[in-house]
Amino acid sequence: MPLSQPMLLSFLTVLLWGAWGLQSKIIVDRISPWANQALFSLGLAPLLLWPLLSKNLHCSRGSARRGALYGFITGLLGGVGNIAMYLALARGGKASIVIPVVGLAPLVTVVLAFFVLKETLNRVQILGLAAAAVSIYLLSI
Amino acid sequence: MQTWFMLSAAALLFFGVTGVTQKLSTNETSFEMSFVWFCLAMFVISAAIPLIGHEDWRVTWPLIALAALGGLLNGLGVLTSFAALEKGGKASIVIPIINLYPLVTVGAAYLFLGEKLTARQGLGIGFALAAVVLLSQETQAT
Repeated sequence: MPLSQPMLLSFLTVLLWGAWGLQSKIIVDRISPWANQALFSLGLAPLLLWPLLSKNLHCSRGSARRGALYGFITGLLGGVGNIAMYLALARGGKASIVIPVVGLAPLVTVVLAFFVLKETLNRVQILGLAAAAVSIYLLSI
Repeated sequence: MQTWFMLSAAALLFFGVTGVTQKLSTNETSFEMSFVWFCLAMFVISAAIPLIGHEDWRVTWPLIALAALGGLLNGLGVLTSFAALEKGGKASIVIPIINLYPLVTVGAAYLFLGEKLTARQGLGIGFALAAVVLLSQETQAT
């Protein structure tokens, strides 16, 4: 049975981000984490064409200014997160451990969404929090 | 606890917060506009690093291309994940699948970098993958 388009795109995302994890480990042995982050944006630049040419670009659901501010903050936090991840890889962290630990980011998102966005935590997510805690313990000792 | 693990935990924290700020952004504006501002912030960081640091900038063109590849892979992943949702993919299916990306890194690191894991680390990664799938299940807004 052929995969649907959303599923193909999901698997493509898995491959792209998975490859980024490998690329990150390969490059930190050749260039400093800071310089790597500085050059990271060169790869983002051509991708700007896609949103800039999209007819949805100016479709606001609320305050466009606030949306832009949160988008900008997301970029700043993402950039600092990247540097921390590159430093972890440069200081001896294996890609096969650092990337799964970093991949636990939904743990923080779910907890913050509970407090900031007033989203509820369902039982499955609470189980996920417990699994994340066990994982962090096992990988940190 | 080792330095690299503390740094990984810091990255986890920063990326985790972006999950919320990203949502706050797309609650107000289009994903496209949010992505533009995300990229602008990345450019600001890129411009700031040479000003505040003392990095060795004697890098070769292949190395510049390899570094830029990181941004391309990451950014393309952001766009394909959004497209998966936009093309009608259910968030309850798409997001848990996407969060399994470390599985590819673990496999590739074993194949290409020769990284080996202890049984405890393997179990820890198993719990991490299970955790992100469970955590990705949709919550209902109150």
